[in-house]
Order: sequence, then C-alpha cells, then structure tokens
Amino acid sequence: MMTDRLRARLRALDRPEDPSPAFREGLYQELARRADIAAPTDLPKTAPVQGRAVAGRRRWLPLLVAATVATSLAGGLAALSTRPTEQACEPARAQTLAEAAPGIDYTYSAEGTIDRTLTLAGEVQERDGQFRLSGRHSAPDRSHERYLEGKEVALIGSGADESLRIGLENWFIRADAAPERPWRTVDATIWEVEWPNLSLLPRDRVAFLLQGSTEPASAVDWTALTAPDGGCRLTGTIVPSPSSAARRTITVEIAPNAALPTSIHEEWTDYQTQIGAWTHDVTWRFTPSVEPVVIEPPAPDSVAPPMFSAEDLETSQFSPRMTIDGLGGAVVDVAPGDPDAGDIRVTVLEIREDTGYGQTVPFPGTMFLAVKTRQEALQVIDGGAGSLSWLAVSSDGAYGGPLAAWRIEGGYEPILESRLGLQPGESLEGWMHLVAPITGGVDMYWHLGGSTVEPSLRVKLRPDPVIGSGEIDGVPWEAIAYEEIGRLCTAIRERPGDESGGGAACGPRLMPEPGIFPAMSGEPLIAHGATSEEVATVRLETTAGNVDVSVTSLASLGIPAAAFAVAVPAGSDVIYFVALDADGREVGRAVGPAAPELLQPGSSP
Amino acid sequence: MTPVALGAGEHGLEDEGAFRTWYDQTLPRVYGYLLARCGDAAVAEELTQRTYLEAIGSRASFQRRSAESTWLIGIARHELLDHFRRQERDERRRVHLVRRAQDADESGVWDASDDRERLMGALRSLPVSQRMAVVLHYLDDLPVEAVASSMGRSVGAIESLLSRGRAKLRQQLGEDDDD
Repeated sequence: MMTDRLRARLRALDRPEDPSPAFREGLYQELARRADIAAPTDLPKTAPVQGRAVAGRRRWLPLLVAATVATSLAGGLAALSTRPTEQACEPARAQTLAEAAPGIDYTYSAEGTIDRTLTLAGEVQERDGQFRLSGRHSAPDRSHERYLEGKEVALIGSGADESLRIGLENWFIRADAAPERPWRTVDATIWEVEWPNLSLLPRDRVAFLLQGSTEPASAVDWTALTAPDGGCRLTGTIVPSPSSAARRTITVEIAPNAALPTSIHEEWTDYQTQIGAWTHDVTWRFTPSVEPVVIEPPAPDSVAPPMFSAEDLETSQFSPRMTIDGLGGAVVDVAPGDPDAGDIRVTVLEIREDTGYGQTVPFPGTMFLAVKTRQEALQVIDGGAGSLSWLAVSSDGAYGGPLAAWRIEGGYEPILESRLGLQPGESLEGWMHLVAPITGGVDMYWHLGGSTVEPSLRVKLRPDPVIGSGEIDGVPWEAIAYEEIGRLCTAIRERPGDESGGGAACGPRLMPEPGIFPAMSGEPLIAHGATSEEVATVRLETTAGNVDVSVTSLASLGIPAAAFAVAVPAGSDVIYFVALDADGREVGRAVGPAAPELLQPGSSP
Repeated sequence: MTPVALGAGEHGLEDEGAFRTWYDQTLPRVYGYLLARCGDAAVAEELTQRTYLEAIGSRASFQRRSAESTWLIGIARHELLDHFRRQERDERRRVHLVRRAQDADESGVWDASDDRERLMGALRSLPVSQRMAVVLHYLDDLPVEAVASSMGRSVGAIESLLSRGRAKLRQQLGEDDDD
C-alpha cells in the first residue's frame, strides 16, 4: 500500500555517507586527543532534553480558581440576629456563637501566613504569603475589609486590597486601579478569580470560622475547656476531604460571658490531588463595636463597569475569538483579510459535568465541566504543539473565569486539560460560552495572527450533517460534511481499523456545476466527497460492481451542494465516481484509483 | 567501572590503529544516518561530532550488549532528537502563521532531479514535529508507542503527526493520496 511505498522510498535514504575529508580528519584528531585524556566531565555535554517551560503565573490560575471557589462558597451563611445568652463552656457554644455573630457589629484584624506549594508538570512552585488585614462587620449585611500596608504581594496576587460589601453587592478596589475609577462592583454570586484574596471574604467572618465552612465535610468536632478566668477555649477539627490529608483545626478563645470570640486561630492544610498543598496559619481577633459601623458605598461614578457585558461578548477584547454555545462546531478565520493565515475549526462534542473532581476536594455548589473537542482544532498547528487560552463565560455574560492554557499535543479528541469550575446559579442555566482567544501571544510560542486582527467573530453553530454511516466488520463508521473558510470538506468521523487519522478531504465551497469531488479514505476504503446540488446519486463503479449512494443535501449549511459517503466493497477499488441527477442522467464523472487511465506502466507500487 | 575500549578489543583507546579502524568503519554509517534524517550536511557534521564525543565520554556505559555501531546509532538518534527539539523550540518562538498548503516550489525542492534529493527536500519541508515522527517511525522503525515515548507525546498525537506527515510527503513527492 501507499504507506509501504512511502516507507520504502524513505528507507532508500538510509545509506552510509562519507563526510568531507576535512571534517573526517578534524573530528578524528579531536577524538584521539580527547580519548587519551578521556574524562567524561571534560567532554562537552550535549544539550539536555528540556521539559516544556511552564509559565508560572499561568499555572497558578487553576489553583487560584479552586481556592477561590472553595472558600468563597462559605460566604452564603444565613445572618441571624439573635444574641447569645450566657452559656457554659461546652462544644455547643460554637454553634451559638456562629448563629449570633452576623447580628453583632464588630471590627476584626487578622495576620498570619498562607503558604502554597504547587507541583505542576514536575515543577514545584512555592508561594509564601504573609498578610495582615483589618475589617469591620456591620450587621446584618455590610462589611469592609482592607489589607494593610506591608502585605506580601504573593498572597494578594493581582487582586483587590480593599473590599466593600453592602447587601448582595461587592465593591472591590485594587492597588493599581486608575484613581478616577477605583471601585469595581461584582455581583455577589460571581467570584472574580483575578482576585484570589476574595476567598478570604465571607459575609460573616466569625460564623464562617466557627462553622468550619459549608463544605460537605465532616462535622466540626469541638472540644471545650474552661479557662481559669472563667472563659472558654473551644478546639475544633474538621476534615474537609476524607480522601486526602486535608485538615483544619480551629482554636477559639471566648472571654467570660462574651457574645463574640476574642480570637480564633486556624491552621488549615489542604491538598489538591496532583497539584499541591496550601497551609493557612492565621489568627483573627475580634472586638465588638459599641456603635454600629456605618459603611458607605463608593460613589456611583467611581464604579468601574463590569468586565463582561452582553455587548462585550459580541465585541470581545479577544480578536478574533470563537464562542461555543453548547455542542457544535465553529470555524474562525484567525486573520480576516490575511490569506496566509489559516482558520481554525473547533468542534465541541461534549460538555459534561465532571463529578470526579469534587470527590477529591469538595466544592459544593460548584460544577466542574469537561469539554471534549475534535481534532479539527489541530489543523492549524502543523508546526507543533500549541495551546489555546480559554475563558469561560456564563450565558448572561457574567465572568466565569479563565482556564489554564489548553495545551494541544495533537490527537483525535483532545480534552481540555484543566477542569473548569463554575459556580452554578441563574447565570449557568441553559448554556455557557467558552471563549478562546486565539491570537496574540499564546503560550509564548504559538501565534495564529496578530494582535491587531479584528473584528471579533461570533460564530453561528450547528451540528455537522452526517452524510453517510454504516458498519464494517461490526465496527460503525460515520462521515460528516463541514465548512471551512472558503472550503467544503467531508471527513470520516469514526471508522474501524485505521487509527492513523486523516480521512478528510476538502474542495471549493462553491461547486462548479455539475461537479463531483470525491475522495477515498482509510482501509477499509470509504468513498466520500461533495457534489454540486443537482446531483441526486453517486454511483461508484468498482472492480466488484456498481454501488449507488444517495447524496445528502448541504442546504442546512447554507451551501448549494451535496455530499456522500459510502463504504467500498471489501477487496475492490473504485474505477469511476459517476454523478447522476434525479432522472438518472450522468452529470459528472471523476476517476477512481482503479481507473485505466491511471494504471499506466510503472505507476503502480 | 572500567571503560570499554571502543573498537579495540583488549587494546583500549590507546591503541591508535584499532581506534582509527573503528572510527573509519563507523563514521560513514553515523554520518549517513544523520544526514538522511536532517537533510543538511553541516548539521549532520555537527551531530556526528556530538555523537562521537558523547560516545567517548560515555563509553563506560557501553556493555557490549549490542554492536558498537548499533550503540553509536543509538547515541546519534538521541543527538538527532535533541536537535529536532531545539529546532522545534526555535520554530515556536517565531511568529508562526498558519499557512495553507505550501507550494513546494518555494523551497526549490522540485529543482532537484535526483530522487534522494527530492526525498530529503520533502523531509526538510515537514514541520519539525512531523519530521521527528516520520523519521523515527519510518526510517528508524520505532513502533508508534516508542516514538511517542521519545517525543514525550501521546500515541494519538504521534498518529496524528504521522498522518499529516505522510500526507504532506505525498503532496511533495507528487504521489496519490489514497489513504
């Protein structure tokens, strides 16, 4: 077969060759010299095989997403306004305090460290974060929190350093914000992963700490010990994930007859399978306020617009980009007007919830999605591996969060490497966007176009029409038609036997009339291709007889053409492809591999 | 561990005559192996030099479980892979505009009448990753799994590279695309 012939031709390259005499002698002299003093350490080393560089910042994103989601969920605690009555020092005291805290005005401060260790692709990254903050809680639903000067940037990242919450609205201000627009508002149900420190901002700090979060973890196992001064010390242990070594211990100091702890010390070690660990060691100190704290919202004109609006999705900052709404395919011309730039086609076969993730680190209320795509995504990266950066955007335009760059290494059904965590709610009902910015500095190496490319695209999606299917030796096959920029293609989507891929053929989008553009794929052979629209039947004249197959109109693609796919009888080959109209008249013909005019002397393998 | 004397039986490297014989006998194979795969005499010379230097430096690890020439070719393959990887990294650093099927005329491949030159030109025209896969699988006869392991990629990725490499070679060589 063809592969064998190609292999044989390539093998012909393999023969001894003499380098130039000068090189031969020069190398010999060098080797002889080195051999006499041969010590391996003296020899020049060949370049080591380097692992692929991992962009450290990018690699933090999944963790930050996870960490943010994990702890932010603790924020939805019910605010109760009942004040505790004087109680004995016993484990139940923790629950009483937790219920009372949202109804008490207080100030608080905290300091400690959050150390994180990531192991990604064999690379260990460590982040040590010392932080100090102060905050105020104004019952029942207002809070203001500010990180103090001297904080470690590693903890804060690029995030906000001041936050204000009133009701369900959060405002944030970040250190590098423009002076004229320092504040930014984010809906309470949306967590902004650029600001990882928001994970430290539950609605009510005391209740959060005492309840040990709302994760579906083990109940907090509290022990109580009466202090000599009549106060109470509660020590609680929680195991967030029985399947990992994650563990949290909380020590609560309560003054005699106090309605609020004076301090809470938490030590928290958490793990994420195959990623790393982070530990918290933080002490919180609380002081009840005599007077209610008045927290004013920022002036409306100082609030920055939301990051993504519905309009943003239409004119995304990423240009061009593709938007995938549910299942289907999208073709994006990565550089309109640039004939040298190609197009990319991504087909999403499946978006499903990944339930396995939550079993390792429970994130209740968060769905993790896995997106399976098809290999057409790869057609633009013949030059090697590449990657796409993805953003997930919920259907209302709210910001779901970025994903780590999706590294494409080829393959037939690449799957997003990173799970996509989204907090469900109104914004996720129905569908979601996956937005892939596909130009610019993608993963440092791979550029599909220029950053000036525009405009953005919003691509209409539709399922690929199936143009043929069947079964060979009990293994099903299926062929589809799809459109690329300016081209019409047919391809075998699934097939038995040949694992080596290929099987796609493309012709002009606008068929000459009449016309037939056939192709043969795989082994067993499947004939497929496109025809002009007046063709009703394609007849394969094979060495084993004729095979007729009805064509499938491609009107659903908006293309005036048809396509076909049919298995060639085993052991036979196609002599001619004949296009017939509805009346059985021949309107086109193309030669097959077994056509006499192709079987000239010397042309066979 | 006592270093094994390359090509010199019991005489060791200090036996210049034996060493010279070993060098003369193995050099064309090593150089030819590399030239066929990288298609560039200068690069082949550089990799040949690296191969021999590495061979001398690591001769202690040669246990005579295989022929010396086989061992040398193994080293040469490692050098070749390193070369491809360097090329690949360099290639990625450049702005990589995706092009539709390139005209073979651009590289002047078709000017050469000799089939060997055409083949080497076609190989050179492949993107590095495809060339690596094709060379290892079709010339070195490595199973796809071994190619995947050598290149640090999945089997599926290698299959895909081979498929695209085959298609492009056929296109370059003017062969029919029948699979």
